[in-house]
This record gives sequence, structure tokens and C-alpha cells, in this order.
Amino acid sequence: MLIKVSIDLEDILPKYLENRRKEVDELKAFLASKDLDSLKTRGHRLAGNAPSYGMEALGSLGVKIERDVQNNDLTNMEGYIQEIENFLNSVEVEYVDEDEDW
Amino acid sequence: MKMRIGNPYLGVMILSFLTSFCALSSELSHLNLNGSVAETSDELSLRTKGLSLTNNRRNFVYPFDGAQSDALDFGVSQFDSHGTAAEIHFDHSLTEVWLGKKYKDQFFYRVFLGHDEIEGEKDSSFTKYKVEFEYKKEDLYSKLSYGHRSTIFDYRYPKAINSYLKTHPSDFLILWTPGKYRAKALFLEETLSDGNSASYQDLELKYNVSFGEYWVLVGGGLEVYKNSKQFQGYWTPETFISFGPRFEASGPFVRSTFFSFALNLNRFEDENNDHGQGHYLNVALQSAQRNTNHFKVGYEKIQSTQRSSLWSFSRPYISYNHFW
Repeated sequence: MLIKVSIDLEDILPKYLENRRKEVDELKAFLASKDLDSLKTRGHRLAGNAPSYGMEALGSLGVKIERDVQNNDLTNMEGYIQEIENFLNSVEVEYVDEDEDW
Repeated sequence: MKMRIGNPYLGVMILSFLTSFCALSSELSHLNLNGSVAETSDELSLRTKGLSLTNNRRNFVYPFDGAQSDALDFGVSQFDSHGTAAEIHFDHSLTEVWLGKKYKDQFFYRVFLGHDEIEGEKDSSFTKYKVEFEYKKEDLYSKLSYGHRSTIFDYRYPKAINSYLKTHPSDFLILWTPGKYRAKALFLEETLSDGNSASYQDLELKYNVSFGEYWVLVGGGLEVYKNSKQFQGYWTPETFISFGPRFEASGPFVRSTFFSFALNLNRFEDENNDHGQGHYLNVALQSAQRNTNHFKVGYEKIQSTQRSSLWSFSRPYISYNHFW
């Protein structure tokens, strides 16, 4: 998956993505132990942070995690975490100048 | 927190200002010490502490007791912050001096010059400046300002930190208080260092229902925020509109203390017709009336709900004001 990201974020995006990769195992552990508060918090942060880094797809998954935990619905939770993992494994970033049309 | 360039000079500046105050103060001098801790539900945290000294205490809109008709003001301030936003840690400092002139209770202008510095992903600094003109006659007050500053306190993260995003804001404020009404209009236009530009308008009308020593205002307001380009790295809605009722109250509390309270209830929507609601709350308690030395403690909270997701911002703060 190719994503266009502002060249202004080139220095900080790799670290952000690395932190998200580390977080996947934590999300799985929170789900296994039914730690819903931690799941909800991580979903909320992902929803807030990811769009700032040009990762709207990740942000949407954060919204879904937060919403479903709030509704006590864990049916799709494993699927959301898998989608995050797939996204992080397949994402390719092209840095572009935002002043140009893109 | 590491020592920054601005700090070593502060002691010298304070001493020279304290000496000058004795000779050049026509009104009481003013020392302000302040601190706050801001946090959001999506992991932003910002701790700040500041100090400012001015030879004449000044509030042009609501003058302090003993304010002179004409005065020459000057001051110095140091403001330090330590924060984490979008998973980036940073330190920020601002050292600033200013010079102001007041004419016949009607005109007041100030020129600010400062050294703004950040340490984080990249270390960088620049010269901050601002000029402002104020005019007051009877029930009309207006203020025009233009400057160059960082966007650290606009919460434009992460770009405010990693790219040290800066802005050239021009703003125009009008306050009109005919009879029991208070109308406010703020117009802000800004050009950002990444090529974006933004505008912000805040219109407010309140009615004074004060009784006795208690100051009570009720009314409503409308805010419009626009960005010319939808950039990554910070929140850049094409059009964001927020409106709703607003309340304000202040007055004596127990013993010699005073309280203040402000509440704005908002309904908002953006260019995608995405709706939400929220509120802004600010409560504070002051140890004495504003003309005498006093401590102030307060709490600021913003909360919004959109697509069933709750976002919140909280900021407890404290300050001490000393006059001599």
C-alpha cells in the first residue's frame, strides 16, 4: 500500500510507525486479558495521532476500536488489530511536497 | 530540562529592570509568576512556567487603580515549556522584552521583541516580534496587532515541533459595550511558514444581568476557522464552525477571595457535515481583589464529542501577582 505523506514529516514518521509496530503485540495482549480500558485508550490515541502523520486508514481503525470497546462489542476487535498489523507490514511511504498538487 | 540560551541573560535583565523600575515607574510595578499543566486525552502534555516584570502594571481595557493617563511602559518575560505531543518530547523557551507608550487614556501601543527556541527532534531558534495598537473611547475598544511567532501554543502538532512551524498573524479585536450589552468581534488572518494560510473569526454578544457585586453575563457566540490548504502534520479543516450559548460570572467568594467562571456550550460542524458538541469551562479563585497582591488558581477544560468519541483537554494553572 502506497501512501503519500508530507515531506515535512519525513524525519519523524519512521519512529512513529516503529512505535505502532511495537504496539500491535500490546493490543493483542490487552484483548486477550480483556483489558478494555487500555484498548480504548490506545484506540483513542491512534484516532488522534495517526491522521496528523497522514495515516488516515490507521486513524479510522483507532476510531473503530474505541467505539466498539465503548459499546462492549469485541466481535471485530481481533480483525481490527490484524488490519493494523497488515497495514504496518505493507505500507510504503512516498514523501511529497504539500505545496505541489498531489 | 536543559539550560537554554535565553536563561543566562535573564538574571542580568531582571536586575537591570528592577533598578530601572525605581526610577521610571509612574504606576506600581508588576511581577507575575505563573505555571500550568495541560493534558489531552490523546496524549499531549505540556508543562509551562513563566515570569514577567513590567515597570507599570497595565490593563488598557479595565485599568488598575491609580493608572496614569500617559505612561512609558517596559517589561521583560521568560516562559519555559516542556512537553510531549504526537509522541515527540520537546523543550521550548521564550525570552521577551517590550516597550509601550500610553497617551491620554485613549491610545496605547507596544512593541515586543523575543528569542524563541525549541529543543526536540531538531534544535532551532528565531526572533519573535509583535506590534500592537490599542484605542479606547467611551464604550468602544479596539486592538490591532501583527507579529511573527511559533505555533507551539496553538497545538499545531507535530509540525509545530519537528518543523518548528511559525506564523505571521494579524488580528483585529473590537469590544463594544453599549448599555447592558457587550459585543465582541475578533478577526484573525495568518500566513504560516509551510505555505498554508488560515483565518479565524469569533463573534460574541452578551447581556449584562449583574446584581450587587456579582458580574453576570449571558449570551451566545459563533466561531469560524478556515485553512486554505488541508495539510498533514496538524489540524487543518477547510471550514470549521462552532456556535452556542456563553455564560460568564465573577464576584466575591468567601472572606476576601474572588471567583470567576466562564462556560461556552458548543455545537460544531466541519466541511464534511460532521457534527459534534462540546464545552469550554474556565473556573478560577483569587486570594484578593486584582488591585492588590494576589494568588490565583484555576482550571480550564475543553471537551468535545464527535462520532461518539470523547476528546478532552484540561489545564490546571496557578499564578501570583505582586505590585510595588
